[in-house]
Formats: sequence, structure tokens, C-alpha cells
Amino acid sequence: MKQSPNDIPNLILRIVPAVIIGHAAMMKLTADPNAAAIFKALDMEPGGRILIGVIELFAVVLLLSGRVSAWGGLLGLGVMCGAVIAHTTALGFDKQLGMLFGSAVVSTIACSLVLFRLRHQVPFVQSMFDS
Amino acid sequence: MALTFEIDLHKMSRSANVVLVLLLPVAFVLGLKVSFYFHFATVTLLLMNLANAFYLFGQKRHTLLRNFGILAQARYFLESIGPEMRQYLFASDVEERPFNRQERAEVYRKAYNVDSASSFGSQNEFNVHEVKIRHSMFPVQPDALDPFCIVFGEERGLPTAYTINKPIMISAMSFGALGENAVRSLARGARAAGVLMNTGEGGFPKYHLMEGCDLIFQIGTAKFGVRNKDGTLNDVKLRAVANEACVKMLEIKLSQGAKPGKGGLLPKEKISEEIAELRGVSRDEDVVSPSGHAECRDAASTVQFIGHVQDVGGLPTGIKLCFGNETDFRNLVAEMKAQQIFPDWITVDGAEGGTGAAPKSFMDGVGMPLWAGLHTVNQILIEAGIRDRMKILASGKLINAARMVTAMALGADACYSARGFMLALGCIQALQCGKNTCPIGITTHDPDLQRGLDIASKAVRINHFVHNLTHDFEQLQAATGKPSHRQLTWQDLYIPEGSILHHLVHPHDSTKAAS
Repeated sequence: MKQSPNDIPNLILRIVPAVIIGHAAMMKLTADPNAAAIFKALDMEPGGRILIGVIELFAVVLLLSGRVSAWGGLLGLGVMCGAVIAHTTALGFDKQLGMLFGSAVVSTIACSLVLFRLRHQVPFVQSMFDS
Repeated sequence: MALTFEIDLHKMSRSANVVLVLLLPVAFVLGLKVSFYFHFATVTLLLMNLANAFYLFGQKRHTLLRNFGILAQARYFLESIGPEMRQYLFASDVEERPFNRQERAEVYRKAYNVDSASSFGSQNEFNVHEVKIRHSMFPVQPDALDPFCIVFGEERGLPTAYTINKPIMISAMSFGALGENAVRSLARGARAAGVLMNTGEGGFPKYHLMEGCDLIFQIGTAKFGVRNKDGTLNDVKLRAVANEACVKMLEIKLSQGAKPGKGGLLPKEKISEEIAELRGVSRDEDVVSPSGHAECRDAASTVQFIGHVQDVGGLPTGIKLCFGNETDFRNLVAEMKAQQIFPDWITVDGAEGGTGAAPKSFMDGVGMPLWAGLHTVNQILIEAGIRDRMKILASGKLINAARMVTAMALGADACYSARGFMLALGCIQALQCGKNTCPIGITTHDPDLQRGLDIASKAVRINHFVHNLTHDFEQLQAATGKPSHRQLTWQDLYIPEGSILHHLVHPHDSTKAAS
């Protein structure tokens, strides 16, 4: 049965990653020194920082939209997978980086759940689970 | 030596599945060693591989996906856009169903009020099935035609008898099947054009009443808006509806062409809070009306019920049916004569489907098509000597004047159209009436989709459609040489031997009918 994006569990699952990703996007788009340092370490400063910041902002808008939240979940999942790869291969988990990694993992899980629970919004995902 | 080239889809998909797996570590290494930007590809490939693994080894519902993996999605994608591709690109102007592009374009032109002349000959194939109108060598001048005038209820001497002056009316479409904007556009257009509109069986006609057009209130088998809890008629509620100034007539729906022998169906996707309240139903499941009225167990009780509604409502009251079992109908007619209770009209609905959602087996496989059903009903009433006690209305794909004249020649006094008016609203025949996703905003309650349906401008189109359709009808009638539409008979039609109608109007010429 189709779930409403505004049911309390779905609302929470949408808002949690939207807040985390939204905060990350703001850090990137306002050229926060920590964000700039991270992207310098990845050799993606400033182009990659701005590009990923815009993608994150777009994911937040989709997550909060309700009608197409599952697409936001998919986009957020992709971006957060990238963050996890960055931490595991290049950035590490020291202090604040560890917290960022934890946030990325939480967002990855929440986005996956949004995508699964609101799968009727994404036909090819719906066809994976529903006949 | 002949050079042949074949695509082995199975091998291709297996190769693709292997390549997809191999590309993942390649992208990952490139992301590590060359540029982190390659991890955009890593993430994309990771998600694709996860989906592919699920298709191949996880799910068991779709055989194609289990055998071929993610490439098989292309097949589902192409299939999903097939209707649009055929409609826009590949289907010819005369082969789509239920209305081909040529038929739809004729309605659009009438609604837009632009010239509808065609050039260089008809695109129709005039085969053994094509029913055409026989023109007279001595046509009537259009201005010498008798004005169109049908009075419902005159046979019973009703003070509330209602006169129509146009040969077409808007057929039953409820709020529920249609969205608010569509109902209001039709109602406003109907008022401007001076035609009646049928409310459909969707309960109290809140939006129909908003625009002040004259209405036929339809009582469906579930009696939404006028029901007791046990499904029987609530006389007090019916009297209240009948007392509404705009409600001019009542129609008892016994069956309908979209699903003859089965009750109305409103999918749960289309049940808004307001509809649930107006109909008194739950939003969690499809609303399936019973297949018959609780009061109508046989011919005698059905006729009694018709009489009861006539007495309570005090308005001209007709019945609507899709013609099916001939013995049942003959029994009903005999009972009308015995009880001396006659409906003020019978609407004969063709079994060609309609706006509403219906089980495909019923839509395709049950009921008589309009021409045959209409002719048979007319003949049975004539044989019973009661044709002058009631009117006959016809409905079923009557979206152009030629079909309207054909219906009248087969016994109809006036015509109903539902889909013709939907096309006039701008319907593109997306075939999504039951999904609440109508892209034109007609058969949906989604506010975003209804937003585009501007009531004021669409009402103008409805008015134009009625005006131009009536004009075409008068021109065709004049061509038959008959000053009044009442003079039209099946002899004004060219009915080729290959048509099923031929066997009905010439029973003795047909070996099949004779045997």
C-alpha cells in the first residue's frame, strides 16, 4: 500500500537527512574553512565543493517536497555514499571528521529508508518490490 | 555468402552484467589514484550493481529481470511509454481506440470553434460494416427544419415537464469520476449552451449545482446522496434533492455501458476526503456499487420502484440501461403495461465502455453495442404499443453529428454524450481515468493536475462544441429531407449486409436470423 510522505515516521525520516545534508550544503556553499579544507584534501576545491553543495541542496529540496521525496532519498543516498567513500579512502575519522562520517552514515540509512518506504514515487524502485 | 547479423539479447545482457561489475573497481581505483571526481561514477555504478544483484538474485516476481538483469528494465520502460509513442508517432489517424485521432480532432475543432472542413476525401475505409446516412434528392432548407423540441414528462401531464431544445445532453459523470474543475467547467458550459447535464451517481451534486445549469440527478444502484444505511432509497433525501431549483429530472441507473451487470466503481486512488463525505464511504478501499437496486428484485418490483421515485420526486423520471437480456426487457415492458407505470424515458447506453473505471472483462465482453441495443429497444416498445408513452435517449460514442443522426434514425429522441464533452474540455485520451493521474486534470482530484483546467475558458469550449454539433446535426438532418428528427427511420440509413444491424432491421433477408 502506498505510504503518505507526511506520516510521522516518514516525516522524521525525511527531516533528519534533510537537516544533516542541508547543514553540509550550507557549509560547502558558504565556503566554510573546514569544508574548504576537506575539499582541498580531495583536490576538488573549489569546483567539487560547489558542485556537491548544489547537489546536496537539490536533494534537500526533493526530500522536503513530499511528492518526490523518494527521488531526494535516492540523490541523498548517492551523495552520502560519496561522503562515506571519501572518509574511508582519504579523509579518515579524526575528531570532527568522525562526526561528519557518523552523520553521513545516518543520512545514508535514512535516505535508503525514505527511498524504500516511498518507493511508489520512483517507478523502477517500486517494480523491484511490488508486483 | 550471405552476411547475417543477429543480436543475442541473452548474451548481450550477460556481458552487460559482467561489465557493470568490472567497471565498479575501475571507477573506484580511478577515484583513488586519478581524481576524486571518478567517485561520481563509483557511486552510480555501486547503486546500479546493487539494483542489478537484487534483480538477478533477490526478487522472483519478474522473470525478465531475473534472467537478464538491469537491461530488462529497458523493456519495461519502452512498454510504459508505448501508448504515448503509438498515439504521437506511430498510430495512423484512423486506427486508435476508442476514438481515433480524426474523431478527436473533429471534436477539438468544434470546441475551438474553428473550421472543420476536410480536404481530398475521407480517410475512412468504406467496408461492409460502415453504416451511413442516406441523403435525399430533395433536401430540406435548414431554415425550414422544425425546431428541435422534446418534452419529458408530457405523457404523464406533469406540471414539471421539461423541454429540451438541443439534441445533445451531457451524460452521467459524477464528481468522483471527474474532478471539481471539470464538473464546474462542464456545468458552466452547459448553462451557457442551454443543455442539460446529468450528475452521475456520485451523491449530492455540490459542484454541479454551483454553476446553475439544469440537471438530471442520477440515482445509481448505491443511491449515493439519497440512501438509507441498508442501501434502500431515502425518500426525504430524494425529495430534498428534487426540490433543488436546478434539478429538473431524475434518472434511475439500472445498468451502464461501461460495465453492464455490475455496479459503479470508484478506485480508492480517486477518493478524496470530500468524496468520502459526500458519498458516505471509506477512503481505504475501492467503492463498488451493488450490481442492482435493493428494491429491484424482478420486473414487477422494478416498475414499482420507478413509480415510487416518480411519486416522491415529482419530476420527469427515466431509467438508464445497457441492453442485455431481451427476455428480461420484454418482461419489464409487459410489467409497465400491466401496472400502467412508465418511465418518462429510457436511456439506452451502448456497451462500448465509457468514462468510468470498469473491469476489462465487463467493458469488453458484456452488453449489446448501441446500434443493435437501441434498435431492439425501439422495436420492442413499438411492438408493445407503448412507444408513445416514453422517450428514448441514446448514449455511447455519440461525439459527432453523423452518429447522432444514426441514433435518431434507430429510435432515439435525443442523445447523451460524456466522452465527447471530455474531449471538448481538452481530453487527450491518455486512458488514465481510473488512476487519478489524468494529465489534463479532468478525471483527477490532484490539485496540481487540475490547476491547468481553467473553468472559464473550458466552459466557452463546451458552449462552442454544443453550438457547432447542433449546427452539424441540423445540416445532416436537412440533407435527409426530413423536416423533423422524429421522421427519421432506419430507412434513412445505408446499412450494408456485413453490419450486424442489417440482420436486425432485415430479419427475413438474413439466413442466420431465419435459421
